[in-house]
Amino acid sequence: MILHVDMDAFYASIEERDEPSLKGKPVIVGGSADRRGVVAAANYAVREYGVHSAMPTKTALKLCPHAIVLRPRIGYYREISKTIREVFHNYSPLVEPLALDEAFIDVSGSIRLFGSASGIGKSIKQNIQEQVGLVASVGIAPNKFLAKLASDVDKPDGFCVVEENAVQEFLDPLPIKRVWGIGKATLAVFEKLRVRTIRQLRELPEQLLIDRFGKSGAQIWRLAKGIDNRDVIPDREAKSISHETTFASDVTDLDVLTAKLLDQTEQVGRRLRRAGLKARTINIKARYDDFQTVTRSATASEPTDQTDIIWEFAKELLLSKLPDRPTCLRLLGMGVSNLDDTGQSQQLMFDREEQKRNRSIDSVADQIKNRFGDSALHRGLSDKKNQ
Amino acid sequence: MKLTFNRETLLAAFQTVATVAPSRSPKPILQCVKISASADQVVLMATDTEIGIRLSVDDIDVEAPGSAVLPVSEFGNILRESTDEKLSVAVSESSVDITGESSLFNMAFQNPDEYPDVNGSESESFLKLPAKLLKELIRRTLYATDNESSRYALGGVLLEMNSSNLVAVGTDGRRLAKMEGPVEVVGTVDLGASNTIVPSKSMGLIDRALGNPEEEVTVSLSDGHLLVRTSTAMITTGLVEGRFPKWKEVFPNFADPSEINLTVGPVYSKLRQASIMTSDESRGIDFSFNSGTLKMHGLTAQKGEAKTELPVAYDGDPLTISMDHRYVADFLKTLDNESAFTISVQGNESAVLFTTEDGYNYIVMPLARDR
Repeated sequence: MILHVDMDAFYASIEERDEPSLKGKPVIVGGSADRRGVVAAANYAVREYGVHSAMPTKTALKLCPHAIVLRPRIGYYREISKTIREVFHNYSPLVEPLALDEAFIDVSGSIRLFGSASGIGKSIKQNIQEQVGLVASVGIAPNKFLAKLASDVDKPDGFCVVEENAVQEFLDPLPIKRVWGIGKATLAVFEKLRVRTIRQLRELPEQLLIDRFGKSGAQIWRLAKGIDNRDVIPDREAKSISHETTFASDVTDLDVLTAKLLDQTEQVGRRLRRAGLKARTINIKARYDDFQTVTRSATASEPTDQTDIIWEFAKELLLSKLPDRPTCLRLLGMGVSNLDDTGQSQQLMFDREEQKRNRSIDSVADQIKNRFGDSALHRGLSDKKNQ
Repeated sequence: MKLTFNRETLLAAFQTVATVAPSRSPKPILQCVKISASADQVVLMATDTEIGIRLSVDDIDVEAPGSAVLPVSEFGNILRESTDEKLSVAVSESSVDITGESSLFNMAFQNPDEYPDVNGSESESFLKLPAKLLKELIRRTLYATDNESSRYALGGVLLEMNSSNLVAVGTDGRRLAKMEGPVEVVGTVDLGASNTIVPSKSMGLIDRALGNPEEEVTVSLSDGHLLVRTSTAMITTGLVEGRFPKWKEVFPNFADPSEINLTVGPVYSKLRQASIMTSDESRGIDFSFNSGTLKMHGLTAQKGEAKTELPVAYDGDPLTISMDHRYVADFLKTLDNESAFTISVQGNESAVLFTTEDGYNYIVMPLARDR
């Protein structure tokens, strides 16, 4: 069984906890409106006005002019997040953090030791309350997809168990937009078909979804049936984080390869950040049509978790460090290693503003992807001259 | 040409000059040092076309004037490996022969006229300063430079004038070293605004070539080249192209800093002890200033923990700053154990400023907990 633990309005709740006079008042944690900041977290009081995270603070203040805006104290939240992760690790080594405030925990191997999954879920919820004074919503289900849905059903302070034999019963009445991969465009198509609930969705023939949406159609259908085989991947003990793609047919177009590499870099960057790690070494792996496999690596002067810095290195490796032969690749991958978990970073003298800006781009992009899915946002490849 | 010399004396000079010769070059003759002997002077010279050096050597017995081109690798090895006190070099039309009491080496003759000229253009305007000061300007800034930065031209030492002081600055973006001292300006010397950046390699060479610390040396600038002249050496070097960051803005503008007076020796000793428990991945040391004490704390999960403490005259609020121990050590290493310096701090996120009374400043950016 998989647990999905999601802290309720994490940043805002920490601020409320530390300053009880804020309780019940609308609180936004985020950048200031006049500096084009965005909402990093909104407490429940301010959500009633329609404010949600990743929204520009300016917009949020239009919706709720009397909201209290607090500057995020990410370093502090991260410390609290670490304490919470320690709680998870008391019950299972298989913890996959998604962000500071949420994680998947695979407790399948812990049940003999600690009792039922729901018992573990209750203990975790209680331990978090005792240790950091914050409320978590917990979803427990046979897989990640269902666990994440379950933690959300009666949030805040939610606790929901979906047993193996009750999966369909749980899913059927939910609106189809809860299925990963169903966005605005897909939703419109289903609306025409008058498919609104997951039950209606799963009763469609699989082939129809595949015909309409291709590969992601099959994925949608499987999720609607409550099937999700992805493992919980713990990032904590990681010595390296990597991502690679084997192409259906060999790729020679450098633009396509560059775009694929960027995509991989973004995913690796995001996994680094959510594990709270930084990397010193960036590497790429290329397998040619004749199976010659080449790896190249580069080392940054300071460990980094910034996607754009990792990308600089990865792009350089792809474009100028591969052997002098036609790039006809059956596989391309990239990864980072030499990981740093000290949580400290050397402050720089110059370009500090730019550094900050890039970091906040990463953090906003991460939030958007956590909320709307991986395909919600991509970096553009605008500087063609360097390719 | 024929001359006889003391092997060890020539070895030292040859090694200095040979650092300029490129180890790989499309022009093989550049991988040599040229030696020119006249009746009253023997000069070694080398160039990689960007940097050039002429260094005159004493104690050489010139039997026949002339010149020769000596391959850095072979001739250098002969000087190092030979056990003879004296060696002589004789050039004929077909070979260069090096003869010792118990050894003989022949090398192919290369035409010395094909070796590029090593000359600096003369300038009417120059700076005049004691060799001692130039050495300090180099030694106290060169270590902070960074050859890897792609963004700024940090691979060299910036030279600037500050009224009649020559200012040298080296930085890698994490720490910055600045040294200045008074010079005599002859004519008008325009070092420009942040664009006289002398390559690190050239600065190292100048440092090596400086002889008698008490003598006056001159520094001039023309055609985008810097020229340094001592009584025995002439070095000319191209400059680093690119932009040097606005280094003055890095100096912390403390409204109310705490200033702590310290002596190098004890601080360096405690720092070395505390850094036993640091690693390549985790280089931070916490410097905690408390009433009357400075504590240093090194901690890594894999190795363990080190705590050291020394008495200091501090009476401000308790303050802890984390810094890369190597950066602090780099500064301390450039000073004698007895030297006094001042640390100025304000808060744990601002830069830390190290100062001596003789124009030396050093700034270290702290390590910060990730936000």
